[in-house]
Amino acid sequence: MKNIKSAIQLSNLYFSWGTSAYDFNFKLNNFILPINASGIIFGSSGLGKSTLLGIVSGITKPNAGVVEILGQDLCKMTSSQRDRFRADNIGMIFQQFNLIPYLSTIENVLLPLRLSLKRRISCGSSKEQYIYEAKKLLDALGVSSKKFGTQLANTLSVGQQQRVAAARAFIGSPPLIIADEPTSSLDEKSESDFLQQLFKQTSTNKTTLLLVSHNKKIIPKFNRSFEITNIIHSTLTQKT
Amino acid sequence: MLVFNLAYKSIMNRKLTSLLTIISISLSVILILSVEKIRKSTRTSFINTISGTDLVIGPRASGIQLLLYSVFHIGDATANITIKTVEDIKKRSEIDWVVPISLGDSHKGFRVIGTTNNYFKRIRYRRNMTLKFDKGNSFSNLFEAVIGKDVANSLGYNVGDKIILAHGTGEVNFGKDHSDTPFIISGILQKTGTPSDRAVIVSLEAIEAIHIGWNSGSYDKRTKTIKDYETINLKLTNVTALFVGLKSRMTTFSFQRWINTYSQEPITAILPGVVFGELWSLIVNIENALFIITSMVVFTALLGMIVSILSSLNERRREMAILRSLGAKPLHIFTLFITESSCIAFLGIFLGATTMYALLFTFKPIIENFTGLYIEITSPGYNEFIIMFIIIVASVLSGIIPALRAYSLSLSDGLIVKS
Repeated sequence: MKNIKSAIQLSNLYFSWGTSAYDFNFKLNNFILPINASGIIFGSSGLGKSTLLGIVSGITKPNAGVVEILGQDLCKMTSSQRDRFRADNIGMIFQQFNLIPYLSTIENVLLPLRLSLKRRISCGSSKEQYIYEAKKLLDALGVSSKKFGTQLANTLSVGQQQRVAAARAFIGSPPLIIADEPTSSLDEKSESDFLQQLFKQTSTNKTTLLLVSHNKKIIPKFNRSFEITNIIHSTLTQKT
Repeated sequence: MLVFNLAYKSIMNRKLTSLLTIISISLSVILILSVEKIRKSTRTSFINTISGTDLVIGPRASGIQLLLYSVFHIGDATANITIKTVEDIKKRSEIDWVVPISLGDSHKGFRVIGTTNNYFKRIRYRRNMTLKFDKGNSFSNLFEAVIGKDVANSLGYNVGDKIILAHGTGEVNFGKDHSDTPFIISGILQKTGTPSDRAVIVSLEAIEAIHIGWNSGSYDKRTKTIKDYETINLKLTNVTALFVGLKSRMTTFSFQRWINTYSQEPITAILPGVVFGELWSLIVNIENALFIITSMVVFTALLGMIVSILSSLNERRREMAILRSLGAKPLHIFTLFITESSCIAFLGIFLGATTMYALLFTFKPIIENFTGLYIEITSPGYNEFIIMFIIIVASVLSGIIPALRAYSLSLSDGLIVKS
């Protein structure tokens, strides 16, 4: 088996949206995030942070370049293969509205297992084991599975929803977690708690974390940070 | 399984909208299935107006005309059949029974049929059902009459009441009535849903008796009392038509040919079933128009379903982005929406079909009593299944519109919802 050193390796990446010079352009020469590391991308709005996450997760295909995630070049995969790859290997957390509103807390956490056999196997072999894993994660992230497990997702507070989303991202131990401004709708205390639990989980599961944020204060918590600059051509600059 | 589970939960999440859509589809299904059922029942009732009669014989005329005046009491006969011809027909070996009828008089808009007591025994309707008396009995005296249920209901008659027949078939008799020979109602028939409900039935001899002294449609002189009529030997001269039953159906066509080539008098024999078919084909356009209107109702209901799903699409874009981030393929999103619309349509169709049968079962006797329309409750037939299948296909096809929109949105949105 290939010895993978970097979880994310992007090179000579180019993505454009539209045809005129004023339309969105995104260029990136080199970006590496090692296995089990935690990286943060920061920068102003509209520079392509979310586009970059779309490319890394395999939903968006760049116009040119190499997108190597966990040793596999997503650009060489078909759309369907990328979907399968994402289901098996990537857990995602969004800024807000992370959950399917009409599913219960536990059903939301279990969703990735229904789309990935690999993640299902890593949780066990029976429905009871899957539920046990989901409850364990919820409790570890500070959402009481006993109290909130059967509650509909849209009845939870924003902070609780973010933790449920984190539990969903971690279930089945995917090697890469991508979080798109997961703390932007949380207050300072909740943000700190959430990040603490996020790091605890990534450390426990030996997971690589890539997070996008506006908040420069949290940069020191990460192994690596990247800043997106330049309005027309976004460039990631490795800070540490 | 994921798609079904999500579709179910999503429908349950939008209970009110889903329920209203299901109800609107079920109402349109009730409407279209009812129209189909009523259309079929009307056709069956129409064709079964007369049953067990092999041939109807009348003076030479078109088959439809003969059927209209003899069975439906619509229009008038152009001529009569002489008694000699009737006797010749009766003598034929193929004949099992003959019921003659004499038309031309009326009572307050209701047609009068002069016939024999055999009429109540032989004339059948709806799969061999005989005419039954609701009250009283058949006529046994000369000036006794049996009336249909509609006549009794609309004129408020009962057994023992006196009625006066009018000369001619118009609702207004211009003083040309048979007031000197009133009839006493001896019996009222049960509702049949056939023209018998709207008929006044008397004996052939009574018809002959009330026309004594009448020449060319006007009354000349009153020469006899009722007592006189009852004692004199009334000699029948002619009848309007004959209902004929044959010993063997194998002889129908040869006997019909004999009638049609009968040289003594120009007469025609028709097979009621065949002419019923010809007559029904004349109104098939109305049937089609009715079907088109109900199809439009179904179309509107399906349009409502598309609108309700499409209008919820925008608020569900986030949901699609979440599913995509979890590894769901755009095809999953497409299937999710198709499944939702199909489930709603299936539920609507199921609810509509079961409600229609429940309503039919409950209201069948009331419909039969008020309209005379006999609706047979059978399991859905070929036509009903075809209609339901078309609605299912149409609903799945209409589900494709929001599903395609969801599919394209999930592709363009990716992880970020661009509103």
